[in-house]
Amino acid sequence: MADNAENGTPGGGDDQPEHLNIKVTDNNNEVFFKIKRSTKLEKLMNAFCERQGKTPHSVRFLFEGQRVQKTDTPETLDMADGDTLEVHQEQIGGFSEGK
Amino acid sequence: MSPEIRRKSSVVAAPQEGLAEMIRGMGSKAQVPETPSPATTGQGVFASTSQHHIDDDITFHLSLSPTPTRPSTTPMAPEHGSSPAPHSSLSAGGAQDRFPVPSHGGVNLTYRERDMLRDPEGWLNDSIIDWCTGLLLAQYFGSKPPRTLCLSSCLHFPQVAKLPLSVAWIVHPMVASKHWTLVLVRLPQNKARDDGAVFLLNSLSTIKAPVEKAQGIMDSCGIAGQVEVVPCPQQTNGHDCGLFVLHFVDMFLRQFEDNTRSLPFLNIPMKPFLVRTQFVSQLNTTAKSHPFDSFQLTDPPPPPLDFDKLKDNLDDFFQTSTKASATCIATKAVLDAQLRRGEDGEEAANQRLQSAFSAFGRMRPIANKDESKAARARIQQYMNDQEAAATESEIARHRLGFVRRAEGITAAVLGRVEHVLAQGREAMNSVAAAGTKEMPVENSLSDSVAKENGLETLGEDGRADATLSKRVKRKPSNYS
Repeated sequence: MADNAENGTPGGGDDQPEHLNIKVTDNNNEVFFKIKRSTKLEKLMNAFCERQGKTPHSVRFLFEGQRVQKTDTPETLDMADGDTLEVHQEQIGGFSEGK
Repeated sequence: MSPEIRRKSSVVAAPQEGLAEMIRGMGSKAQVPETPSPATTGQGVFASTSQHHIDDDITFHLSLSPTPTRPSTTPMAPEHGSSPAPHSSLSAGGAQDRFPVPSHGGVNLTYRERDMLRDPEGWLNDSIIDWCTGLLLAQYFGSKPPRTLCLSSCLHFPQVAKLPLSVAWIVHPMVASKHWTLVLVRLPQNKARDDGAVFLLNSLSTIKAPVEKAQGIMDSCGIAGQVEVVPCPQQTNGHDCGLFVLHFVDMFLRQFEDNTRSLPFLNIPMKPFLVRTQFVSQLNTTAKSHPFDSFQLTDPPPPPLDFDKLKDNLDDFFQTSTKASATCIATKAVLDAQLRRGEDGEEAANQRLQSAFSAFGRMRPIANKDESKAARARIQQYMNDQEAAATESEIARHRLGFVRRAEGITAAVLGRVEHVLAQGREAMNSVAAAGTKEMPVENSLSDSVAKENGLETLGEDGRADATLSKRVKRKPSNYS
């Protein structure tokens, strides 16, 4: 559908492609996304959660060890083509014998 | 005048000044450090929002066949400058479920996390832990966290190799079998790799899973040896471990300095509910000052607080400190009287001694042999009297020094308790405002104030003051 970026760059005179391939992995599954540099990663997260049958608040997306916010874009995170987002489960603690 | 008496008076005068110095010194030292007020700096360090248009199609494609290409991790030159727009996230789709506080530790809280913290028995998740530790970091270091420190609950330990070389300590709240513990990693600084260590603070030491997990971390950091389990306060229930971890992080950051290689003292007692109240109140204050208003619409009714428990705890604190304060006042009165008596006696003895000396000087000793003998005896006796009186006032002064120090500490404790009470009242009022229950905090307080007047606990000899100051000295750390 969407093609790789030969359509030039909208803003500056750089030669970065407009679309990036991003790998999202939770150690079991790997999903590749092709995403515009200016698209919010929320779309990617929701798509991943939907696909894996997870609720969005139960997972954490990490890029180079830092949490990814819904409003982040590849641009704000300086992501490069082929970068990886790691998915971690929510951690919750408070110990009781029954649980 | 005989040289003997001059020597005597100078001996008496010197310790007076010394004692006064000592008392002044004690007074100024008996200060409990203030907790920093909720930070107004360093907020939104990680909050990155973007104004770029979001109307483009979702252009991702899914593929389950992983390509063998190794992802490059070299960061790109930041040619695409992001234009931060502080509140553009309001219009973003995910704004409703977010609790309107500034992000800390790279986390924006949701209502779910806020409620975890508000619930007196709520478990904490990694987001709230990261938010709170991020808040502590901002409190203690502003927008410039020390470069030697890495604080994260979601650090992936194989990534340790990628950390900047400046990092010396990793503060890692860790979950193992649904239990929060704190792992402190001291990375080896030189290639000799001799002083690396992993410390574990486990508020429920009967659970052994964290030890194994910490050992795994130690191995993946390339540090040889055994995990060192640090003695620390223990929880008495099944839901406070997150709060203990926050307390440990607080104590660690509070004592942290760049180039610190030794582990700070962390075995400091605490009250979990105080930690919870503290963070809830910070959450509330920052939420109030943060210009979001959407949460008014989506704010679910807050869960009822356990008023009785809260009230008991606050009462307990208040009574202990007012008791200590009253004891201080009583002791001081007794010792003041003793000091006055001693000083008066000293004064009288001095005068008598002076007059006896002058009488002796007027006398012709050879003519009145018996009389001069008697005069000498009197002088000797007066000197003894003066010495006794001086000793009495010196002892009183010494004890007063103790009491004044205890008093300073008690005053600090009382100030702290009042601060906590204010927080407690605020928390209760916020709940009362939500229409659940009215809470007459003030009544219970005036009760304990009334009790204060009936406290006359100290013996005449002022022996209790040493134990008192010991008891009081232990207190401040409970609130810190």
